[in-house]
Amino acid sequence: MQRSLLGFAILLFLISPVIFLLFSVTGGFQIQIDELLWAVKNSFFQSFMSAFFCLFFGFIAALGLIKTHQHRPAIHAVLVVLCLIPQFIPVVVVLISVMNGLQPFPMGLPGIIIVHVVSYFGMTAILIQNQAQEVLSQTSQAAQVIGSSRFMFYRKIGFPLLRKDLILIFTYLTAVFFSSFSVPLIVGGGRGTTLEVLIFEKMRLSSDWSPAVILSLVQTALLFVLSFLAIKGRAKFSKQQASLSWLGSYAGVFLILIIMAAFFASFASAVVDGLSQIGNLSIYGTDLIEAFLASLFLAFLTYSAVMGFLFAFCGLGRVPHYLDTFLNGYIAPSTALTCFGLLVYFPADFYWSYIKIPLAFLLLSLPSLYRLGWGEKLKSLDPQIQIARSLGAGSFQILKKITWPQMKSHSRFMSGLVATWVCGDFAISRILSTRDFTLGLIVESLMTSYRLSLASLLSLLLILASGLCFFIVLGLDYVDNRKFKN
Amino acid sequence: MKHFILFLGFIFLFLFVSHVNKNQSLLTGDQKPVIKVFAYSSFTSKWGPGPQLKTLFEQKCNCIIEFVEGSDSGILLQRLKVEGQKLGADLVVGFDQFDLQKATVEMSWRALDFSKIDADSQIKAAMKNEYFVPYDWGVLSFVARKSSGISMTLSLDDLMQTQFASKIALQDPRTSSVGLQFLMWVLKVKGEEEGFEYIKKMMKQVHSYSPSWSTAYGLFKSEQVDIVLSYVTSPLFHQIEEKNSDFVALEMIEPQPLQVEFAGIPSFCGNCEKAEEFINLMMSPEGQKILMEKNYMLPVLKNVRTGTPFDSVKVPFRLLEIEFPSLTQVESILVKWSEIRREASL
Repeated sequence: MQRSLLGFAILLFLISPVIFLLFSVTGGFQIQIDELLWAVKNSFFQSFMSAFFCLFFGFIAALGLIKTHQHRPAIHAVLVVLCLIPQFIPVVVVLISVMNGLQPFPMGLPGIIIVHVVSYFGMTAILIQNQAQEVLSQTSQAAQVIGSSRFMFYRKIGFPLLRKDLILIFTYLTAVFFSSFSVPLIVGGGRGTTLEVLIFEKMRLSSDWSPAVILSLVQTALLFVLSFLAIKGRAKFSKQQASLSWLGSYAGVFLILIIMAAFFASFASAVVDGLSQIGNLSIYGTDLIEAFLASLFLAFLTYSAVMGFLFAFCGLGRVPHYLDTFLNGYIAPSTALTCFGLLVYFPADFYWSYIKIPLAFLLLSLPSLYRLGWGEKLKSLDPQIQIARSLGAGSFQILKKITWPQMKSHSRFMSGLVATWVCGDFAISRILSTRDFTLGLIVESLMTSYRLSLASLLSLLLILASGLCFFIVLGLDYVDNRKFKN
Repeated sequence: MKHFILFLGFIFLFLFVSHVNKNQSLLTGDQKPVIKVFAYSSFTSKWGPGPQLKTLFEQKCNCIIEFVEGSDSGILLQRLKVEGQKLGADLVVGFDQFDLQKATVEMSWRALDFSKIDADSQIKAAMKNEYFVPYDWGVLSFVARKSSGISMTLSLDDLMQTQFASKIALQDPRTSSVGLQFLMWVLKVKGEEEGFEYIKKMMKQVHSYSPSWSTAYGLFKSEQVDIVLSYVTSPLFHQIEEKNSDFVALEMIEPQPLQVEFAGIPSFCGNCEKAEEFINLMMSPEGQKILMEKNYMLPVLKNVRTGTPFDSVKVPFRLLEIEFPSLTQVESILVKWSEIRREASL
């Protein structure tokens, strides 16, 4: 009974922004079908193409990771870090870098796809490498012994075995890109209006928010369908350590190095442009330090909120089927809708920003975190929980002795990831905050004036704050693990 | 581990309390009235006119000015609608002529009369509004680099030349007031039928319709495009702050559009008199100079420009008259524009 109530409360919490808005809109819930279909078409096109190219480049990059995994661990570690960088640094930095580097930059759908691919190809490569390591280890050894060529192996064994995993990754990426907000908004250029951007436009322009709520429900329904078309992920966490080196290729190493070198060079050139304006930063005085600390504080609050929620979630023990189904389908809630929902519900004073922003990130990131492996890991503990229950252990005892100790490290990493995103955010904070109090907001303000070069320069501080935030989280994990071992 | 987390918690709590203390004097029991000013972010940011006006005002009024931000006038209006009364908005700064109708429909405003001030003749019409006061204005034009060799005088039709194919940065009229200005400009100059035909052709000619002026200007700054729709005062920013004289506002053959920024006081204001005093400061020569120099816009008051670099700004001889289109008029034009955009991208 308690478990069902907790599960229901979690479900209600996740959809609360939609409920807030449903109660506050008064319009006639009318939408233009042509416009809707056009936005849906754009959303599908950009998300499918982004996911396809991510998978394509991610696969080649994964070959590089596979090649270096066993025999060159130092190079492998560097490559993994390079692959993850676009995921950890603020979106604004990725945008500055890509738009500065590609001239002329193709605004519209091609531009959206390029930015998405640069942001996600590395993470895709790591996911593919992990799956390959898990799935292909045994067969690759046998194939190597009988003298199969690499091409033949992939054609006859590798791809068929990885097919389900690749489809799963493709679907996950498609869902993430489908509801991507800031990239289509900035890079869409009027030609690539997606469903998520249309929701934002409706909420921004009109006094009647009912079309936005309808569009958001359509988007959620489409994401549900999309996610259930895919085969569900499997709960495997033990990796075999057989060498797949012969299946890898240095072409993947070069691809990662070339993309990331171009990325850094382009960002560096934007920063160098900004250096000529460095004197103008004096106007901010100590405010930059305060904004730096405020960004970290916000990250700390978000980290605590996500950790707290994941802890409560672990209290469920076994995840109820309906909640699992919901979380696997509700991959990416609408950013605009969530933000406006919180705006309507919470008090407007500035200090509530410290509540609203972490809450928005919690609501927006939880379904993704669940889908990114946290949920599977929790479900993999089911047999242990069942045995503990049959031996008479209480819910709290199971949480304290079984679930949380095994989920803690993973939860900490996930919370750290969200905290890092908060550190560099400007889009969500701009809607929910009433003043420029974080670095991301200051950078955004600079970008909305003539001071674009200064914004590029300040984005260096943003990276520093995000990096610091992530290393604090890693440090906490390290200290805790050491203490646990001792 | 627990001690470390507690330590971090205390550090942040201390910082938070100091922050609260610094910004609002909430914890010191300060009884000064707080005037809440809703404004867009570039007005309230450090380099905008807001902080300087705030300091000046607070020296005289025995009150505290607190800014509430919206990223642009559209978000500002939505924020005002959702939070305005809850927060006790006393003054709103940053509407343009297209927002006024919407603002008037959605909420009620206190009547203001600044018609007697010695305003620049070009914007006298804007002074007649019953509820909103214009505090600065700008003339829209295309900005280019002198070194790009583009002719300094152009007509709207010249923009269709092959040399400008994918080299023009415009703004999306649904999300940017500058973009809406361009759309209204074309329709005004060419008439509705011919105007929309022109817009259709422009869909193919333009590099992109950015969501905001800043994104479009960024494309221009990074040399992705040759010309961008901006203000005649834009080159002055580069001249003064970047010591770069390569930028120029092109003279258009057609009469050019004006953008006027307005301030207004919602009828539910808590400190209405103080809010009006703040507008008085904005409209004083001192306030106008701050607005001009920080916003890089033209002052409403006559003679404020004299003896400043803004005196060199060439205001076009022919300007369009300021109009205040109705909400339905704007909406129907935007629907039509969206249809054209959709067709162009199919």
